[in-house]
Amino acid sequence: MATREQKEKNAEKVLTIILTRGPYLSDAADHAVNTALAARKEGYTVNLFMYLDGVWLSHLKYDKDFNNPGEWLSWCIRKGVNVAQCDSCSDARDLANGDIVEGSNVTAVYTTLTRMIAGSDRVITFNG
Amino acid sequence: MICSFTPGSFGGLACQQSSMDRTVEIPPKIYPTRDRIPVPVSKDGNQLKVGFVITATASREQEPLRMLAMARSIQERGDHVDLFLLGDGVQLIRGSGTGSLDALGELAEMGSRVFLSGEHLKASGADVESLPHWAETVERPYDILVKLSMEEWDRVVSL
Repeated sequence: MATREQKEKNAEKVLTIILTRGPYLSDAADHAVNTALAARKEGYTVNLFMYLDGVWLSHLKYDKDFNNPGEWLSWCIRKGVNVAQCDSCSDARDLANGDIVEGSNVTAVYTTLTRMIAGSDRVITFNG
Repeated sequence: MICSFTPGSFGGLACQQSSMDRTVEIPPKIYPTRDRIPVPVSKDGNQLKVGFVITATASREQEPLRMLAMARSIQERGDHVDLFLLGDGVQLIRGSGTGSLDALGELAEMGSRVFLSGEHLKASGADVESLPHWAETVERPYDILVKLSMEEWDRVVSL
């Protein structure tokens, strides 16, 4: 675990994670949230953008008796990850505001994601 | 303008402007080759360190094998490549008739480090004891992935 000084230094570095696959179809959602949490633990500034089928992750709002990447997404939001999702992708899947986890910003991909990428030191995409 | 598929001296199309009855040579489109693509260099101006994060298995799709081919190209160019196999990507170590094990071994011989997620390796039922000597199993894969991505690698290529 990074020291406080190291975390303050790390905060200047930005990691953007792009998720394009839905949960339970593959491990992509698990990889995305776990990487985001690991990066936050070290103090990095982290963006998590859900795109295409990745927006389904925001739909997992309730407790489950099995692996629940939606719960980890909520942790990401609580831990200060900037979570956003594509508005068109959400509309196309009829994901309205009441359907998605609180704290995820529904926003335009061409502006928000472009800004996130342009302002990042590293970008990791999970679509496998 | 009327164009035919008759190759001109530049290998392009021969086009005829009907009103002026004049043949105009259109040179072929020039696509960038490896030499023309500007190669990014690392912060200190030396060898570029590229990390490949692979989360898919070669038995399901071709992309992981293409990524290994790309990794080899970068390594041959003189830059450094590391591979990080996560989730289903750990299956690449088994080869499963796809040639991925050989490709990984060759990359390791060329200097690549090959990291495997220990938790996903165990979940896949692989015998951790029988892994090739060049394979490095990591027990906290996401912590190590973040450290490599943010502190060691200059570029990350992910699948």
